[in-house]
This record gives sequence, structure tokens and C-alpha cells, in this order.
Amino acid sequence: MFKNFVNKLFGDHAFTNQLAKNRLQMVLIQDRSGLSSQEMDKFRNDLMKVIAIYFETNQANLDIQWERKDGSTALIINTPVMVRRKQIQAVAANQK
Amino acid sequence: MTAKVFVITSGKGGVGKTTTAANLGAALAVRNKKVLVIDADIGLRNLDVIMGLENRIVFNLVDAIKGVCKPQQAVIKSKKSNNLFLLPASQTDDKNVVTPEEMKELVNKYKAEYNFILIDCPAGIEQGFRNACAAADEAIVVTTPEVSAVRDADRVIGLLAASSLETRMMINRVDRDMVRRGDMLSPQDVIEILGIEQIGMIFRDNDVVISANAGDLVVYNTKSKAGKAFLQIADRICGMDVPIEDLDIGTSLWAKLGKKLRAA
Repeated sequence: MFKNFVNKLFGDHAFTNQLAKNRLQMVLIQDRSGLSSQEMDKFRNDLMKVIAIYFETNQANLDIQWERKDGSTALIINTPVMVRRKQIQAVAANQK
Repeated sequence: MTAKVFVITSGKGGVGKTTTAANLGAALAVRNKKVLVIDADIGLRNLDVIMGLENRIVFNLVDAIKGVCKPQQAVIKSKKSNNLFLLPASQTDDKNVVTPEEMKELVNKYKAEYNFILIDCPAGIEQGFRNACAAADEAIVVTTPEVSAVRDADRVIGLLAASSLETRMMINRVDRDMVRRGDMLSPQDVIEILGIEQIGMIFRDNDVVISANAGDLVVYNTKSKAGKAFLQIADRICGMDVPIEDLDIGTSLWAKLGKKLRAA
């Protein structure tokens, strides 16, 4: 209701600059990494497998970015703080 | 003196490399620097028409490299300034007649006579790009606030980083009203995406086309916004601290309000 009112007042305007920015950020991940979207999926899966050896994690929350700063490109992997597997196992063992 | 050598590049064609090379050269000359602009776009030369010097060409860059003439004989003085000179490209050869080593050797021969040498790079990332970058100390990547130009700029920035050239970018044809309406990437957006320093931005300005029609340069039009912006970039190149206008501050109240309410 409120949104409809706002849209009427300001026009149903999509802010295409944000669209451009989002699309560029997606395409530049592929350009900078040199990985196709299939390879990217595989890379993500492989990463998850490695992380899962050490940490309890939620697969959906892994954010991968290639960010450029001061001329060099950094691979940034961002994922919520997770509990170490060993600790979980230790706690489980104590409870027994 | 030893000239500082800049390559003006972009990846994508049509974003304003040649216009930038010519006007930045003229702006530096206005600031009493002796400047040589080199057209490295062999086979598709245009710097001569942009500078209005197309009728004065006798020898060209390829002649100077191949020893058909002395390096100094290929250089043409601009009509408007005693400080500004052009080395035109050859129109009949292709990019592969010159190697990066030859290009470097030639540019080195000019270095003692100028304060600045600006090399206008051809579009693309092939041989012509490698030739143009070979002799450069620094790079200026020209881009426009469009997805295609920014994407290509990113590719070029990656290549320049690999050859460890210090790189800054210039954002061309910014339309203030479109940015305010949220219909164009703002300079801040482009900086954030590309992650390199900005040397300046140029607003979209009809005077650029009007000047080019006449073989004149917009820098000499004292009323032109683009002309003033090129002079500011020249000042920054000379090491002066000239602030760059922040467009995001100017985002219209209406657009801001609309965005906020919609996000709520």
C-alpha cells in the first residue's frame, strides 16, 4: 500500500545505475578470475568441501569476490563465523 | 629535461582516448610544459584531424622508426601553441610493422626535448596496445560510465598491473542529470568497481564535438566545462592538488527521498 503510493509519487523508477553496478560486479568476477560460470560453481563446491573438513558451515552463505585494490587483485572469501569441527566433536564426546 | 611518458588507453574504442590525448596535451602546453603527443594508432590515425593538423603531415611514426627520416623531421608543431607537438601515425601500414622495442627506442630519442609525452593508444589489447604501452612510465585509462566501457577498462587495468605500470583513470562523458536521476553509474560507482585512483572526470559536453568539427581543441574554449576539466587534470599531472567534484553530494533530494522511502 505504502510502496504503491511511493511508486506513484516518485514514478516506478528502477534506478538502472544499481542494475549496471550489480551486473558489472558479476561479470567482472568471471573476467578477473578467468573462470567460466561452470568452473566457478566447481571452485565454489571444492572450496566448500575443504572448509567443511575444518568447520561446521552453511553452504548457502559463501560469498566469493575478486576485488581490485592498488593494482593487485585479491580473492576474498566471505562466510559467517563457524564453529570448529573438533570443538563440536569434543563437546559431543564430553556429553557422552 | 627528461619527459614523463603517459599512455592514454581504454580497451574499448570510442570512449574518447584521442580527444583526451589531444586536449590533455594542449592543457599541459597551456601550463607552459613542452608536450609531444604521439598517435600510436597505426592504420587508423585520427589525432591529426582532432588537432587540425591533417594537412601538415610529411613524415610519420613509422618513417621515424624505419629511418626514412630523422625523428625530429616527423614531428609537427601545433598551430595554436609553441609548446605542443604531434607525431602522427602512418595511415597505410598496420600495427605489426612496429615492435614494442622499436617504439621504446624511438620515444627515448624524444625524451630530452619535452616535459611530457602522451601516447594515444589504439583500441584493443593486441600488438597496438603493447606498442603504445612499451615506452610509458604511467598509464591513464579512459572510461565512460557504461557497462561495456567499464568492463573493458577493468581488463586493461589488469594487463597494465601485470606490467607494473602506475595507472589512474579518467571518467569521460559523465552526465550529471542522469547520475542524479540514478540512470548512470556515478564516478564513485566506477571507482568502487575498478578499484583505482581517479585523475579526473569530464562532463558530457557538446563543445567537444563542436571543437572537433573545426579541428580545434575544447581546452581553448574558455567557456567549456570539458575544457576546464582538462586543464584541471593537467594541473593534477603537474602535481597540484586540485579537488575533484563529488557528484554523490549533489544527488537530488527527490531521488534520495524516493530511494529511501522505497527501501523502507
